[in-house]
Amino acid sequence: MTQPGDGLSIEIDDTEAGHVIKVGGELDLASAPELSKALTEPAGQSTLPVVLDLSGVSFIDSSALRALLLAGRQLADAGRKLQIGPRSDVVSRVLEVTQLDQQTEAFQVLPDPA
Amino acid sequence: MPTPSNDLQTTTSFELVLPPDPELLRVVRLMASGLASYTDLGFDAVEAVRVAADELVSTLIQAGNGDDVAVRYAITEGSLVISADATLADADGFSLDPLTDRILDEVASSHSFTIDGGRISGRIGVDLPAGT
Repeated sequence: MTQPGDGLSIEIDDTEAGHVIKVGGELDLASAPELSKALTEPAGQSTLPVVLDLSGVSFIDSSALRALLLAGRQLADAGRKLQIGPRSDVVSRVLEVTQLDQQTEAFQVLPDPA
Repeated sequence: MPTPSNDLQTTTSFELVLPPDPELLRVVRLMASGLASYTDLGFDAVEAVRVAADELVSTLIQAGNGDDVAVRYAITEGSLVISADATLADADGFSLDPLTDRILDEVASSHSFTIDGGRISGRIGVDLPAGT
């Protein structure tokens, strides 16, 4: 787990379903670069999807969304898919407001089991 | 000793001048939600003010030339207003990011950015419930 400052935590777990990145804390202009790094440096040469678990995110802004879009496009270029899995209400609301839950090819928003 | 009061019917304002360090956005958000919590805004609306303040100041940090960013918070009759300004890095190169625009459309009652004389100013307004 990495903890740059007190605002962000990142846990990485390789499973059969994919490269799961669990993010907690606040995603903003300060923490977006750390998120980008975690997303675009997945271990190994797997073609399994990169699955983001954002259920522990308490704040997200447009800086983080831009990081997600850019990472999603980079992963797609490398033959991998970025998927948004579990997410907090805060994340769901921002995805809905920006219509990124339905309008982007950069990542796929999975049905939220919550 | 003064008595603390939640009565903010008269104009209340304060200013924060900060280096353009993204880590300080947490302070910007904290100030915004702190002031908003003194109004009759509900939990979701206070969270919206926090998001709006972050988008406003993030925009200025990214557009600015590295000098300090001044952020002013005010409660006036019927609205909470957060405004900020900074010196532009490139007077011809600024355009508001569409994602920021969409978010501000949703979380603020009004928002605007203006460029004048090498400075960029931004303003967000949030309507307050009657009686605040």
